[in-house]
Amino acid sequence: MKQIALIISFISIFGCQSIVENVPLPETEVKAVAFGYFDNLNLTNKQNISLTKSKPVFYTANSQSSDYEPIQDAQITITGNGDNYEFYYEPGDEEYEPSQVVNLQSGSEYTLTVNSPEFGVLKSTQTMPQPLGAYTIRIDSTEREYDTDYRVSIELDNPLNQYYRIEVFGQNLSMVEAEGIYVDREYFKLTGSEKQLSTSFTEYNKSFGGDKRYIYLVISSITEDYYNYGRLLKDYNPQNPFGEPTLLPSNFEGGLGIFALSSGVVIQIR
Amino acid sequence: MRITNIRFYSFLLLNVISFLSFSQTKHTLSGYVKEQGSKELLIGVTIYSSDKSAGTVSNDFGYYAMELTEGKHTIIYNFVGYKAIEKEVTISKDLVLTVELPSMESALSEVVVNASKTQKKVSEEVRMSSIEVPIKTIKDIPALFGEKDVLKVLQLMPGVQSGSEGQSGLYVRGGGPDQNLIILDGATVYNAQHLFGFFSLFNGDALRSVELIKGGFPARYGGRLSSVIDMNMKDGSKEKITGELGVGVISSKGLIEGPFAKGKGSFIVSGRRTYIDILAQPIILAANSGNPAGYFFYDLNAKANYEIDDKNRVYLSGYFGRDKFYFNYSEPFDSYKAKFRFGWGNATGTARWNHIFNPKLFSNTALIYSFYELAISEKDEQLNQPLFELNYGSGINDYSIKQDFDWYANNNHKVKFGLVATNHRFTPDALVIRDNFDGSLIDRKTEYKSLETGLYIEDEWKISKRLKSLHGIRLSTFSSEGTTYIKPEPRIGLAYALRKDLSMKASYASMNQYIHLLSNSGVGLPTDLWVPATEQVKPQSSRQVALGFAKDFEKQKFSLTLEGYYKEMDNIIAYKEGASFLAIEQDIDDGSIQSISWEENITSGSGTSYGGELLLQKKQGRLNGWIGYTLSWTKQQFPELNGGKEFFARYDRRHDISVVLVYEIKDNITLSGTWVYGTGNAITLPVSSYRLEDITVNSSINRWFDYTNLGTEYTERNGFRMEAYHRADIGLQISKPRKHGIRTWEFSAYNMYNRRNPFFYYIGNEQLFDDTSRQVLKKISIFPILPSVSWNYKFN
Repeated sequence: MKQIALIISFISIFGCQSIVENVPLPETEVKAVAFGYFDNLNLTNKQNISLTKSKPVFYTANSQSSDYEPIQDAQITITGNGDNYEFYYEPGDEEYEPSQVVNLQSGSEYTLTVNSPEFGVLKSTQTMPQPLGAYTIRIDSTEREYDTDYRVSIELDNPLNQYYRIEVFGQNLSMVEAEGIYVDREYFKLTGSEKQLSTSFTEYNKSFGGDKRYIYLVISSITEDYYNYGRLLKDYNPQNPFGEPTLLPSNFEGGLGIFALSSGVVIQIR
Repeated sequence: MRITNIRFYSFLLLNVISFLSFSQTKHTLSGYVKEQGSKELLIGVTIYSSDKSAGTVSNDFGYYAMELTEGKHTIIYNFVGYKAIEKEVTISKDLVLTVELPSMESALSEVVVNASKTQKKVSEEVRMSSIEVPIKTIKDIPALFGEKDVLKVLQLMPGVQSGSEGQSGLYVRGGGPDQNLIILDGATVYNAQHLFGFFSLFNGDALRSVELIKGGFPARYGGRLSSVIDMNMKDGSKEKITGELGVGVISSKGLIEGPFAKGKGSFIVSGRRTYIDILAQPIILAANSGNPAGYFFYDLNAKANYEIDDKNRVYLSGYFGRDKFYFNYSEPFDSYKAKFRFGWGNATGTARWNHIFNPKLFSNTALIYSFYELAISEKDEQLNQPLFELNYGSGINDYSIKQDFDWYANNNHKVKFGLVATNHRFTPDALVIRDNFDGSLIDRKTEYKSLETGLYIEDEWKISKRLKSLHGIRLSTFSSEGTTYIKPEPRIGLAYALRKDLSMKASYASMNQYIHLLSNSGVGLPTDLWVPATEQVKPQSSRQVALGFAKDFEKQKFSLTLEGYYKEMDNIIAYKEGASFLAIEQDIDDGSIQSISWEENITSGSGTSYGGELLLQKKQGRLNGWIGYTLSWTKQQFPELNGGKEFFARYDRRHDISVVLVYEIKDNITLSGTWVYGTGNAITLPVSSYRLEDITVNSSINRWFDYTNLGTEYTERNGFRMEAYHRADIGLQISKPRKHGIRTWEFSAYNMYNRRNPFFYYIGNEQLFDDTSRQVLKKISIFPILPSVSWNYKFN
């Protein structure tokens, strides 16, 4: 009996194993992915629309971001408020550029339509948000040896919209272009009688660049879809192995991506 | 509204009137029910007069009381696993009668009545959705590595599901593991798992009773939404010093119990420790270039009781257990050393005083302590200089005072009332990260102090011969960080006898839960944070209705229960998309690590669960066991998850089947087997990836596209089903009397047909012929067919 027990114990202790098997999955559909960001500000030197193909995660060769193939043969239009903006494919940028400056009116509904032979029709309809209207802004700052902390509070007189975004960006012009740029975004949803948007940020290493440094705030009304997408994108970190998956929403019927509209103002605070 | 009020007041008036006794002179028969020999107090013993004019059930301390008219009566004492006995009593005044029941193994024939006619009947109980699990059954059922596990036996009951392969977490009627109130001798146990959930804390040898309540909760229980698992430790033998030894494949255990103070008191101490770390250390050292690593757990249960006099008893009990994982790494060439530690553990302590004010009023006063902590640490050093240090911890510390009364008002009313106050101290996260390479430091500790109270009254009312009710109300309060919640929780259960041995039951229970468990769905480790309800994070609440039938088949010695339930849950919490349990985030621009509050990491939503459960059970005879089937749906909806759309919970399980059979081939040979089947777990799976075009700015604050990230398209949340789970286990126990006791060998096989059940899925890389690679979905199975053997010796 004891010998049998020893043999069974040995098998039991070393019997646990990690058996790894591939799990068969149904074939994944490749989709068209469109991105179009439009606002009322003259910040966009290229009011482009990006259109690429998605790739199945499983059972296809791994790829880099540059490997995602652009869709070159689509017809893209934005229509609404009696306007019709057409976009054409620009091979250099691998994006679609408008044939004229896109000027979307607050309160009007616009539909972005993508029609490609391979993927059919993608469509998204959004209403250009109302402008910010009158507001009071208060900026407090605390100077420290190397850094400055800013606290910004914006009181809207009569909010016509529910969803907002504050972007902060600045640059040290003495440095190589883009290296010194930092961007911070905060998304807000006002409920009930709420009127206040507030955020805080820190300017680091302020001694670099001297007077050539600047800081801008862009305060925008945004669409609900853009709010839902933007707040998730803000914390998007797919590399974190302990993180919950982020299900980025899409507002395109028949595909992925986002048609995002915003209406804002730019304030230079430094 | 008016009709409702009239009905309510009529009900109240009827209730009050029925407390008044207008019948002939009655006296109270009271006492304790004990096990013959060890004098262990027995909980839940059915006691009734042979003419069925009076009946009751012994309480959590083995005490009973009931009213009898003057004259002669035959009283029957009946309990599963014990021979029923009859006592003739003549009542002319209040009488105290303490009775000892012989266990089936040691029954004396002269006091035994025909047990088949007197077994406890489910159709006669007013409560529904509750199951008492005999300890003997827990010991008979085959188990992983032969480690008997209370919670895994509960998983075999309808309405209760397991999580992943081999895990002991319980998912009851659509609730998460945090929604189970697990009580050991009155103390709450917060994390009831050893070895990352493969084993539960509870050593069956030290337990006297286990009861699972899934719905129709009596008002004395509160603080959790989905279930109550009420366990009581043995008191210890008052007859003589005795003990048990057990040697298994991965652990050994021991138990000693006995009397003291000339039998006025008794004690019991039991403990176990795993030794995989010791046995496997040579292999680990060889595989890790001499670097030691290992894992072990141990636990210790102890209890003592003392009978001061006929009216006063005191009890002192406690549990202490810990899990530890360690890994040391060194590179002598670089004088580099690293130490990694990961551990968690519980401790509970209970001091109780039972006092009998008069035969009808029994009191229990308790002081309770409960503690749980998780600790993770890493220390790296080079040339004896610290390089990096991480210390992460979370925990909860409770001090409670509890006062319960059992008032046996008359044969139609058994009232329980009392109050409990608990002082919680939560440390959801204490994190120190010190990186001497870049000088960065995070040092944060969050601590909350909260007070939770519960005031309750419940009445088991025999309204008529056919209709019984168990109704009550609990008033719960919770104060934390300047926020106070006060919530009434009405409870009602009704049982109506349609005919002999067939009853229809219905119940409603409102529950509130003031503490939350943050559990990261991507990690299968005990990295769970207990946090209090705050102003921002509201208490969870639920409302559950259930309707069912209970039928006893007396001839065939089995019972059948069929129940349907519908449960709504509000303010349940989940991590936000993208959130991590470490509650830190990396700045996209400069890569620095920043700490964020746990409240920012979570989001609240609602859930519904509904389904039907069937339990066909046989508790007597050489062949006993049960068949359980559950058909259920569990859905959740969070405004901030899954685009605000409703989704199936991770533990939504459409079908769940358990078959448990125990066959006593001879008096000393028992064969047992189980088979389980469950729909696969629901998980979120990536489907496709795409170039994510975000906008940013350039030097002239012009916007441009930023292609740096890849987006991932997922199935909808929990939109993919893992493979279904099924498994069969078999066990054989052979006992033989020896010189000083009984020796038992147990042989068992887990997963006897070697089913490759999924433990978890992960995304892996596979190399292709053209030097490229591709991602594949991999399934990990960890338990193939696993034989095990254990040796036990029970001293006489």
